[in-house]
Amino acid sequence: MNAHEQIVNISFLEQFTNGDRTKMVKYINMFLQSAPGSIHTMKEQLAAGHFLDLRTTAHSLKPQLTYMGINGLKETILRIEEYAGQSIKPEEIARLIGEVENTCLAAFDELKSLVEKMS
Amino acid sequence: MHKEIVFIVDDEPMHAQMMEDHLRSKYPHFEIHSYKTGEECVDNMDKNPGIVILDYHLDSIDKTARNGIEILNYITKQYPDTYTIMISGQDNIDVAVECMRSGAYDYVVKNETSFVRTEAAIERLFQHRVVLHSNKQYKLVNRVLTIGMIAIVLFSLFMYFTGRIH
Repeated sequence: MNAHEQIVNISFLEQFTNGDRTKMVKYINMFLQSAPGSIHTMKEQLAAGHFLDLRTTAHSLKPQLTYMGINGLKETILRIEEYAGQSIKPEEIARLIGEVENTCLAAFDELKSLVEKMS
Repeated sequence: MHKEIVFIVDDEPMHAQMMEDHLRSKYPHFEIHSYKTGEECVDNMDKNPGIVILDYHLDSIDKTARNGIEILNYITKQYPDTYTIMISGQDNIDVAVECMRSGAYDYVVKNETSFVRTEAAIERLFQHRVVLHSNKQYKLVNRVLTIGMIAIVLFSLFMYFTGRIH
């Protein structure tokens, strides 16, 4: 991925809040609080072989990523849900979770700097 | 204005907050209560909500929590006048059919459009209520008229047989 390529796209948030920065910061902070935990939980669930729980966690993360405009992970999350739902391909799921984690870590940085700018 | 009591039941704080903010901006007269679990929703049903916006997956954080369908079935059975709008991240026809068969008024997929779709569902629900109310009034008028007609016929027969009408 290009170092200058934007991962997040806050156009939905801007439209949803009518450009209200206070609300945007509130939602971004909620995401920054919950998403790292969800990624950690997915890893734990995979390690424990709790595939159906893993599918539910991925499923609940999906709309949050959408609201933050992290659109590059749509397919990745869908595949995690699909494989976890069938309890197959644990190695591939691990790779996909790694992809989610790496992209999200970069997204978190972008969002944090956005929050700083907006605050 | 009539105060509409609305429950939002969702264990994802961000989505619940966004839904609450959206509905508050569109419907300032709504009294909105947010709950993270179906159990909390059930415990507060004595507030008599007119609308419940219920997440299908209520066990994404607490794996022992009752899921949305269980709560929907409970509401449908115990509170038939409450309208339930199901929300789910699953764009899956089977899930939608399951929800509608269990008594959901509508089914909305959790994505960027879920807020306006929920609003649209609420507008349809209000129209549905108006039609139901008109229908009830029509039935009431119909019943009163029928009883009135029967009373007139009986009175006429009484008058005829008692010789007061020739």
